[in-house]
Amino acid sequence: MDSAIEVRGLRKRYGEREVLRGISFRVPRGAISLYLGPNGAGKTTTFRMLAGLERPDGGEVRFWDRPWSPEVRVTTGVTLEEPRFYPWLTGAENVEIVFRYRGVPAARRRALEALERVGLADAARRRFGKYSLGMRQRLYMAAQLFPGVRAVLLDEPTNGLDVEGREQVWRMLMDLAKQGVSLFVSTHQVLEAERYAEYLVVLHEGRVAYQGRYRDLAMRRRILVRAVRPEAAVAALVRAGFRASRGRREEEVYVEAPAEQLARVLEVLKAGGLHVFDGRLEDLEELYWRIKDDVQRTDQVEA
Amino acid sequence: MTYSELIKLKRNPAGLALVALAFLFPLAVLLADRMAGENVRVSATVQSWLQAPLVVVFLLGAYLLTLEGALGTGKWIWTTPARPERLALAKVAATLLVAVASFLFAAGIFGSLPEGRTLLYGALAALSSLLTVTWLSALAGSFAGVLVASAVWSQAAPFLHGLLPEGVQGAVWSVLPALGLTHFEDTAHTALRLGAHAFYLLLAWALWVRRAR
Repeated sequence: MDSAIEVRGLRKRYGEREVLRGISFRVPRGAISLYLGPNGAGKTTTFRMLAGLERPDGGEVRFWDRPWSPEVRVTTGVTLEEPRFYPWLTGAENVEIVFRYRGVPAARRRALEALERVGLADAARRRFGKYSLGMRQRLYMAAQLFPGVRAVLLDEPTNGLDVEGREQVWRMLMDLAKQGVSLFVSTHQVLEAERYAEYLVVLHEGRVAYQGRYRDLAMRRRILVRAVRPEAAVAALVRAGFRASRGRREEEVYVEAPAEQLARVLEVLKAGGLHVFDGRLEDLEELYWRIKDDVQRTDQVEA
Repeated sequence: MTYSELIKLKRNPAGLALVALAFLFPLAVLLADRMAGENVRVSATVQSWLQAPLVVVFLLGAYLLTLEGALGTGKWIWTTPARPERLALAKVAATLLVAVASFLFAAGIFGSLPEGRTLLYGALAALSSLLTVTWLSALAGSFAGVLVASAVWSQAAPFLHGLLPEGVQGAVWSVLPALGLTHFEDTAHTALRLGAHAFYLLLAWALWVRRAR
């Protein structure tokens, strides 16, 4: 896999708190990679280091197979959480200023083109202070669409957006990825990872709990059935040769089997006269909790 | 990048108000003087043609230099290839452009253009003040902080200076960050003054470079 970004053994400590505990991962080129983790997991700290705004205590960041240097900024766009621009200037003027800082020739024309790409052409001459949160996020992204951009790092770009706003942002990101731009997007929303990630890095308490293709992770999902008599359901499934166990909730039963076996599982339960009111693959959020539990168990064993 | 700083002033209520204040200041002094009684004379501590540029330096300079901190826009600026010291230089250049315009305005209003050494010393005083405002802005980080520090220092410096033995007063005065009070006419301590300004330049550079992290 050709990497756009590679992180090796990155460590960061603030006082007593170790925010990043030697994390390593790769971000492939020309794809949408999601950085998934709960608030406080260390996502923003990682982004600040990737952007060169903070020095790691240990480890290394590489872009395009070379160690990080300020030159990285020439071809990499970064958005860090809340978009802040000059409120009295128009959207186009704000992006023009960003492009001028980047040394983009014909900055004004390029700014208008970028606004068009994010669907803000009509609002180009409206003051930033009058923009809605969704428009502000899109403007922040427009500012990263400078000529020659190879990678964009986006720290929680859909934070605070409604369903429609989120959809617009993701549609735009998918278009960018199609144009060969490498995208590394942090989020704490599992649903976004499930829908849009081609590649996924899961961060939990400063450690990488999973990294790889989303497809490979999705293959690890188990079958989840919710039955009125879960104990009897587990027994029937075990008798039929399945590896089944009780879940976290009262009526949950997990079956270690691929998606194709769902119909067979339901058949076994029906034949046993067991009433099932839900049968499906576990979702990424449930899988996420399982990964998290695994990491915690490993930590406890190591401790 | 200087053009970017000038764009930031476009339609900016606070920035434009400060520019207007600078342009109106010498007029206000002149009007106050005219309206005062026969036995009262109103004047500023600097020549009338230098008043507007100095107000531009202290108010607009400090405002532009602390703007990114106030708005939080520095967060994205430091992720672009823009270097912090170049950003500071652009702000200084934008301030100087407005200061020159205000000087021409004031000179036009008062109908007298200073010449020769007078003009040179005035320009040096404005530049020296701008240098001080530059490092002070990086240090204080806020417009209010710079104004308070400037006001306190402008009152305290002459007082503290007066407490010194007479023999060292000239030398000490020449190295102080004098916030526009530096007497460039005093040529006896030019070397010391140049050394002090070189130090302030380094200080400004170091503080601005540090800001990007």
